Amino acid sequence: MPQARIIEVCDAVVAAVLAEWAALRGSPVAAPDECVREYVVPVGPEEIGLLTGRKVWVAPGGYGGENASRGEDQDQHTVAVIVAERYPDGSKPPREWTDERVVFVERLTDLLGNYKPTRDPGPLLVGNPPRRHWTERSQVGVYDWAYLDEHHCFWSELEFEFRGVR
Amino acid sequence: MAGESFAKTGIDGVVLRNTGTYGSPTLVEITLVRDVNFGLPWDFGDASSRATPIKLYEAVQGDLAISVVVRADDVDAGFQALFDAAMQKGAKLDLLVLDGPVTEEGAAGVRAHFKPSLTGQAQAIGDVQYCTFDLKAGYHTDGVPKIVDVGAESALTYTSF
Repeated sequence: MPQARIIEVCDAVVAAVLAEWAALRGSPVAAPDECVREYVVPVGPEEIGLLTGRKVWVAPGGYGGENASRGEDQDQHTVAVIVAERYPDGSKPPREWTDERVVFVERLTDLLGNYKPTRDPGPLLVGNPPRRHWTERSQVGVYDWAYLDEHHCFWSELEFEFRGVR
Repeated sequence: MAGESFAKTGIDGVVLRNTGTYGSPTLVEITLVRDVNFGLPWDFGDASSRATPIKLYEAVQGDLAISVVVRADDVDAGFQALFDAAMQKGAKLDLLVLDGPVTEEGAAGVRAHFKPSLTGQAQAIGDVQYCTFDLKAGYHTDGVPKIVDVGAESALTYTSF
């Protein structure tokens, strides 16, 4: 069954995150770390204490479009990304530990927030046959105060708008 | 004009490029066209006389004023034809500019050998690139500009101005 285009965009984001993360680690992403597409956040506030590893969840936000020309449409896809990681022993994390996660989020934003049709780093290729998408907008919540203070969990919410012509 | 009554929208207009001969055209739509502005203002000569104190005019020459906005593309044949013709001083294109598709009885427009003139290519950092071409009717041994009417079953009728 063919996928919805917004799902194709999310899957392309997941693949991009996994590749960038593997480059940062020097090895493929492995459990308990993961980057997956989800419709609902798998972990509620009451389950935060059970969270292990670094999680990157990618979810469809919304989409729209407009006429690019008489024969084409310009799609606009919004993708939500959550980066979550609980401090391993559940105690209050040191600043340096949180700083490292802020850097990780910035690395993801530098990638996902800068796709261009031809300029470096190039387009986000979506679907088959691949369609070029570029980043129109990015928005980052650096961290969530409540999650860090109450649950000792780094929690960052990001949003990206990608556009493509078809 | 024949055909049914409905609101015409800009997106339904077509710009067709002839890739065949003038007498046996092969019409291919330039699909990357976004906006078209069409006009035919006439120059008037004074035809007044003492028969009336009201000024009288007679149309003497019409100036087809057509501009098209087209998404820039490295491989689209229609855009490349317009762009290449705009870059070459003597190049013209056999184009039909209609206010509806060739399948719509009642659509109308003009056909001529147009000289495209690139009047702008917006390259703003936040935008998709579009080119604006002014189309000027030019001289060609094949024929002069014609009025085009779309009849039943996509039959095209050409009429002199």
